[in-house]
Amino acid sequence: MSAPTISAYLAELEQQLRRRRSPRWRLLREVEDHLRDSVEELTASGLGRADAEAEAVCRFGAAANIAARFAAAAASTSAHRAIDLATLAFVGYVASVLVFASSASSAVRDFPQGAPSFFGIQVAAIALALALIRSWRWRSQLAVPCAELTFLARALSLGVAALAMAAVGETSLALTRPAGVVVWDEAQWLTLGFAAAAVVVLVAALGAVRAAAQAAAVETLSGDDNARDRRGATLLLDDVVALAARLPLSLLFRFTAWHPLRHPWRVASLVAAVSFAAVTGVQLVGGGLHHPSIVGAALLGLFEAVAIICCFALVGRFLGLRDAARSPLVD
Amino acid sequence: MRGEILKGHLELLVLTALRNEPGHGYWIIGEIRARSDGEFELNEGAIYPALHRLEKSGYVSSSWAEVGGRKRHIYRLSRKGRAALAEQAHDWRRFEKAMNMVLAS
Repeated sequence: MSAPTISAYLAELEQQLRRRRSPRWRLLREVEDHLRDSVEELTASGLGRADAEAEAVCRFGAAANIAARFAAAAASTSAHRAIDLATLAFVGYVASVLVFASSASSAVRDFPQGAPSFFGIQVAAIALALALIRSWRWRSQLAVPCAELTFLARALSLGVAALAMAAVGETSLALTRPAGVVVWDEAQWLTLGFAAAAVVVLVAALGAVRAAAQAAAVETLSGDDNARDRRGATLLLDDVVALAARLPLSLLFRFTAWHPLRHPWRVASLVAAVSFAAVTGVQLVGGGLHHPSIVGAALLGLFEAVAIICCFALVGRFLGLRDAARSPLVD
Repeated sequence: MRGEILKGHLELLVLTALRNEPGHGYWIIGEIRARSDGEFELNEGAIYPALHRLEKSGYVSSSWAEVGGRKRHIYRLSRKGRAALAEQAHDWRRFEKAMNMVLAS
């Protein structure tokens, strides 16, 4: 079989890049220039045109391999950028909610701190923290390994989705209130600040969708079954230990015989217990107006703890915090 | 030298090739080959994902420019890239020195 010519090679490369949802135009232009230079050099050294094209294509490497490498690098870049933007959106949203809560008059004070923000911010904080840990570990590398990229994109998507739902939910609730309940004139600048934060959240959501689509395409076509079969909890453990090794935290891990991340359910239970105590305590000390009794405060704390356990059960595997489910066909 | 061995050092090689003057992908490969006296034969296609990543990291910048009558994508070392090159070159010399000591023992 004869080697593909330059045009056939470029067509195959484009198809491979398209399948991986990777940016194409610039790379294809550069590869074409590269191959033409290579052919010129080879023909000048005495090779025939057809042989020179075949040799140039051969030296460049298989189109599927080049596309896979480039798509992995591009997907990693998209994910890192989307995480940066999502972190900015998170900080902006939380800041706007806090400023609103502390500055607005009592008539509008409850606007961006209702149930959507209460739950959305908590879910986004956990999911984006996981995405940041993974992003920081692999930022200096050419590409994030396939399995890590998948979990990174999932955490990013969940975090941004929670934040976007909070922003949309709060806005919908505010707009559907009976006229006269909220006097917007009293908080024009605060409302504009919240709107700006909500817009950044929606832009971050677009970036997250793009990053997730690229990561999914890279994973689907990677053929890296070993990477996909690795235990999710082990992946997070690797990330945290690798990061801790760069920080003074490594001392902490060295002297910890019981590694907490090897027992994800225990960690989730511990977090739920601490949250129960914190929420109950805060309600008793600072929020007595809404929950005057100990029972009321404890009920809210219990609700928070149960929500944490339920979220962990629902999305723990999705985020790589728990081991992947074992397939009955494998056993 | 095999491409797989060079893969881990591709970033350092590319940054070094761009230290003195800007250039396009094909020129960079030729420069690395020439400076290594033909020892370093890169998998040519591997250089473009590396250039993409270096650009996104801010180590190199790029623009289209006319070279030899054709529009080419030219890469330049940035200030950040120059600092990264100095650091990576320092690390490499330490590694080389330690490796030589081990081999000589």
